[in-house]
Amino acid sequence: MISLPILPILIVLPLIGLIFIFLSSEKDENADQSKKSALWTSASNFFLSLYLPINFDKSIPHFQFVNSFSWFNSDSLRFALGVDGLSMPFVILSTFLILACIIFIIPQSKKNMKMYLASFLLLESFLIGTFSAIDLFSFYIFFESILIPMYLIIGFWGGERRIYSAYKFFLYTLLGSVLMLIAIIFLYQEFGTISIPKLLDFTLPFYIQLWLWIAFFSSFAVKIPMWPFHTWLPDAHVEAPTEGSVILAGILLKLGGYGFIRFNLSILPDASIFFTPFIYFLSVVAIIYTSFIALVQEDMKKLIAYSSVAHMGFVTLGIFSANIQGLHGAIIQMISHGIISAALFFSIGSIYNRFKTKQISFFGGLNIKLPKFSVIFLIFTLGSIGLPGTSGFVGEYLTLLAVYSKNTLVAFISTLGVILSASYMLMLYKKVFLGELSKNMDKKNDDVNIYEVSLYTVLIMLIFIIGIKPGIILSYTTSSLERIIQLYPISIF
Amino acid sequence: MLIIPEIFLAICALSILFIVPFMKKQSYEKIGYLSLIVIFFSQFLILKDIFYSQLIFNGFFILDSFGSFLKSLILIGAGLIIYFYLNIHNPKSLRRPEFSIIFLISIVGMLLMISSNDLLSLFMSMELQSLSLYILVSFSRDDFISSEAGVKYFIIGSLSTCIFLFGTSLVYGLVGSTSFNEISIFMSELYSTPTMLIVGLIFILVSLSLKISAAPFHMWTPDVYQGAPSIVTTLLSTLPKIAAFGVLIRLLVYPFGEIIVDWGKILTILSISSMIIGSLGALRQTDLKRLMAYSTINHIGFILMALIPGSEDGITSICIYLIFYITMNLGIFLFILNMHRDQISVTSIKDLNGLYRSQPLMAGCISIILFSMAGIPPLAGFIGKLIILNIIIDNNLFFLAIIAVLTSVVAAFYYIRLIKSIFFDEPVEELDNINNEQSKYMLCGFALFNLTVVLYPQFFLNLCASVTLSLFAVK
Repeated sequence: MISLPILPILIVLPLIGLIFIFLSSEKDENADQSKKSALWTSASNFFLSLYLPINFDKSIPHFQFVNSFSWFNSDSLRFALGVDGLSMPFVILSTFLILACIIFIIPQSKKNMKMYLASFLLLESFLIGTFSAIDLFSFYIFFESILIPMYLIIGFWGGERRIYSAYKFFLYTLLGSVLMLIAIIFLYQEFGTISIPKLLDFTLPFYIQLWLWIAFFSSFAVKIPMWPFHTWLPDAHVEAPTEGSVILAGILLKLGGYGFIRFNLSILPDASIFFTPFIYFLSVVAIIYTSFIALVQEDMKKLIAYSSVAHMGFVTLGIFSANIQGLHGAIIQMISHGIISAALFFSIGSIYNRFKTKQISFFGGLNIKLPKFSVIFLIFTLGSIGLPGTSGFVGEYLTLLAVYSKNTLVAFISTLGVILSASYMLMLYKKVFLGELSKNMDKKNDDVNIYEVSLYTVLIMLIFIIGIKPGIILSYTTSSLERIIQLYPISIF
Repeated sequence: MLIIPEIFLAICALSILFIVPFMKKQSYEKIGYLSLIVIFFSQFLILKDIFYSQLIFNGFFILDSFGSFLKSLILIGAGLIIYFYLNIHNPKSLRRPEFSIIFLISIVGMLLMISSNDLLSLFMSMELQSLSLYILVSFSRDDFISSEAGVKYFIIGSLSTCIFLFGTSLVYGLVGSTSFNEISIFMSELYSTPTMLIVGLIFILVSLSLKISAAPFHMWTPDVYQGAPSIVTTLLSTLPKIAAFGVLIRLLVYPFGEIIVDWGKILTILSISSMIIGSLGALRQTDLKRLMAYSTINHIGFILMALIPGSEDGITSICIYLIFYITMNLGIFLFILNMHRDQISVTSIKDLNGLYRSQPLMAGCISIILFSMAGIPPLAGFIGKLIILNIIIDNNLFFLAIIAVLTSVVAAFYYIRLIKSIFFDEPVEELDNINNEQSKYMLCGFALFNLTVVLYPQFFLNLCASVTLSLFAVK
């Protein structure tokens, strides 16, 4: 078979689209031509990315579609791209959600539309780069570069306190990740290689692992985010525009979980065992504490943001329980949260576009006004709660299974989080959609438009497909994850 | 083989000085272009012998490719600055033929500094450079702030000179010679280092720190940067730093290379305090030039850090960082030179507000350069920082590396603040559009350079590694 350099193409294609957007001389605001080129670029990128699962060899745990480029002219320093079972689902998730965002943008008009579209394409390129980088330096470069377009998206098109939030987002994540840079350089100096697959062959002394683990942890814990490093997230979510929130919740948070599996768990297993109780503690606090905070939120987006922190608590529990169910659970939970939270943010965006507010108290009885939409929102709500049959259930179930086999108490407490999530999500639904029609909403409003219907249909289908048959994702990830488990020492936690 | 480029440059500068009174109409432009041509020719002369290495004038000066590399870097910068002066920024007070001539003489001083192989020749060339710079800083004579900055710079500069001389005399008293070669031989025969020698070295280092404005000897920098005419600030923030670093590297690596343990500690203190002061001091600045002064201090701290191991790799990384630093700084200052409102130069940060609305292309370019200065990948500034951090961690200086990255986060805060005002803030009054095509192209060029370095860092690494080799060949 002729090997297509698929990953470089996926990374470069959005940049070509970006050039097209800048070349078109039309004025801003609605910028139809630019919207078209962005749509074409992201759509073709999404369909091209399907090349990966089609040609993926499920039995090989190692990296596939590997392309490497000389960077510093030495053999030890090469840019390398490739995907394994762990990273491939995230590449598809990125291309899919960017396409979804661009479809959602099309009926809208915004100031500086061209730059808005360009930021998303740039973001797509960097995201694919981050997930497909298999050397430390290009991982770091892509990982950090994401800050630039995201900063612009939040700061330029966000809400009232957008500048403060953009700042907080930028500095928090930068502060977390610079320590990772030191760890990365240290790994390079120690082993003379930056290739991630080669690093798996080495073992480090325990006390060095501890320091490196903390350095990587500081970066990913801010990104995912874990309690108590989560305070940037509600601000960023509330102020970001709808599409920005979607990308933030849908993909950027997953970078943290991905990093935990790829670096902390695979390269530094001994330290991971040492820190497992610590992670359990933080995750349990995140699940319970942020759920309670979510209960009292008055802003819809803020509620979903806190629920994201709680859901990510399950992800970290799953990852550091370090058995195959746990890792599977974490992956499914991340993918499912990527789809469901994106769907919820899109829905809130739809509501916001109609009523120009996100305050829960403003609404009431919305199902009379928007009957179709309220059914759609109910499905997303149930998915977020983790009702059996939706993808959210699979992730939480597998995670709790894995944790139960390691630590009953932790599993018991975190199960309470499932109940709490049901209470805050259902309360949100009750306050906004059920009850008497609020006086604020006497204006006439259209129910969902064609773009929204098509987008939501696809998202609902995905939620159910993953919920009923998670094997379509897990069959890809199994062999890679099993390899990580094999290398992992047996722990008592 | 004589020390040709410097002699050529000096002779030309002096002959231009003689020509001026005989010209019918004293035109600053003709003299400026003449200087540009002279700089171009000296660049050619340097490049011709870039791989040549020799002691000249009885060991008073040295020619080697390390020096030639820094010299050609200086001459490129000098050419660009003269070009900026002629085409972009020349307020009425600067339109005098003397400007270019004094500028040329200061360049001669810098080139000689880099070639010096003796404490005496070093002292003289440093004075030549400094005296010309004092004049340039206070060049707009009628401006109160410019004159004040000139006096401040002069006082601090003379203090630095005294300290340098005192240190030199201590070293001479112990070694019996001022030649770098003699000092080197003396040092290699020592069993234990005399305390007075270290004291002498400390004095010399303090004086050089004043020149490169490393904290805690940075006090003059913000005032002088703000007070000097913008074009002179451009000069101050770039070229003298290269020259002083050339001297510092040559002095520490060659004659005092044996006592690396002692000067390593001093440099650690200098570097840490520069990084901290450079990042924290800038947080509350409102003037762009003042902010750039603190930014310079921060970068200087970063560069000094790479000198601490005293290794060949470290000096290579310094050379690379200097290239990137110069391009970033020239880019930013090119923009500052172009900042006008109603034909009057302005330099406040508030003036950047809403730049994106009026000039999106320029806003994009300047933001790329600012992101690069903040060290955000994949831009040039990040590559420079990566290479230096690599050296630091290779030498197990983790403490330094952690301070460096943490201060660079703080520094990112104020660079991002500039980008914030460019993109997000509402303009109070818009700046005049840059109607000067050359500066637009050049700014785009600087931004493009910062953007594309990530694709071929190998080129810079090879170049700088080959020039550094000559420095260690002398040993």
